[in-house]
Amino acid sequence: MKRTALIVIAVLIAGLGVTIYLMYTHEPADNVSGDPDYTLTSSGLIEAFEKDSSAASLKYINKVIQCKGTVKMLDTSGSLVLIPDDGSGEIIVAIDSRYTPALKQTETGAVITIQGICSGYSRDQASEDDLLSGLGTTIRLRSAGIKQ
Amino acid sequence: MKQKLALLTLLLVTGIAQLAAQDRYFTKTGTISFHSKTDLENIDATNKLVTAALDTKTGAIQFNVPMKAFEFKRALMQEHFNENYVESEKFPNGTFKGRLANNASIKYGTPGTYDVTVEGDLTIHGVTKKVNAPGKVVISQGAIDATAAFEILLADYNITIPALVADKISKKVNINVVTKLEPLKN
Repeated sequence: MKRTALIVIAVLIAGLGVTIYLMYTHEPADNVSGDPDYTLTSSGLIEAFEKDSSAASLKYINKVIQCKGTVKMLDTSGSLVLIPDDGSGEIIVAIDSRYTPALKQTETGAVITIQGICSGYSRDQASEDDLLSGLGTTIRLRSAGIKQ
Repeated sequence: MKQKLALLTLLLVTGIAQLAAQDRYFTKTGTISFHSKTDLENIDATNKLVTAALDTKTGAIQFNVPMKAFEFKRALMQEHFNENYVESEKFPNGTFKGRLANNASIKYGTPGTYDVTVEGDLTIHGVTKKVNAPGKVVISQGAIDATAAFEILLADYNITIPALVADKISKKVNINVVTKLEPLKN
């Protein structure tokens, strides 16, 4: 009886140890391989924020977004800038490090589909005191990757 | 005559606006990474969504850092960073507003490398502190590479380390800033 109890306790402790180890070493979620919460064109995403930024923020911020656009700028270390056909703004994309190798097969001018978490929006408004103002309408995606 | 005067005024205003715009360099894909040494495991994170701008005329420099865009190797570290340490929901952005102290010595029109001192106000976790950091500015054809490295004390920004791991986690964090600034074209 005592032996059985000891075995049960040992198994429980080992199980707890494995669980803690797995929890601790677990990589951040992959937001690229699964299905997105929303699929839009890049101009549609920008338009949604321009039209009603509060409603769009509630709907899209921290959600997984898939959108298509043209690569304006590419940094193979892990970022790119997407622009819609109508040139209405820019989507700045930070690539998840697990997906940076795919950046090397992409080039400026290519039309690509990107998927990542919508992280923020900045309206294009000028302000004399703010050096970061007037840089154009910007939407940011983080933990993203190029969908093949 | 009136039409000519209006046209001349318009050209003059546009010209001045363009000249002013040429003084401003910016990026929306700057990188800020930090490193913290711990007894358990070193903590590293990188953020590639940094917006930065430099006014070469005045040396004014500004950064905006969306805190949730820091990427960690471990999900748990990322979660603790956002929820317990910097409280990203409550304080979504880190900012820096300052200037290059020796801006007058930089010849922006000529390619070259300059050691600079960056000074200004760094706001993290809703707390603003004066920062003074060494950096480098590299002027090349049409772009400015600006880098800086400095150290902050977590306690200065009211970031508290849970007592359970307090003696295992460094109270200092090394921050590295790397930006490639392009001229702002209107």
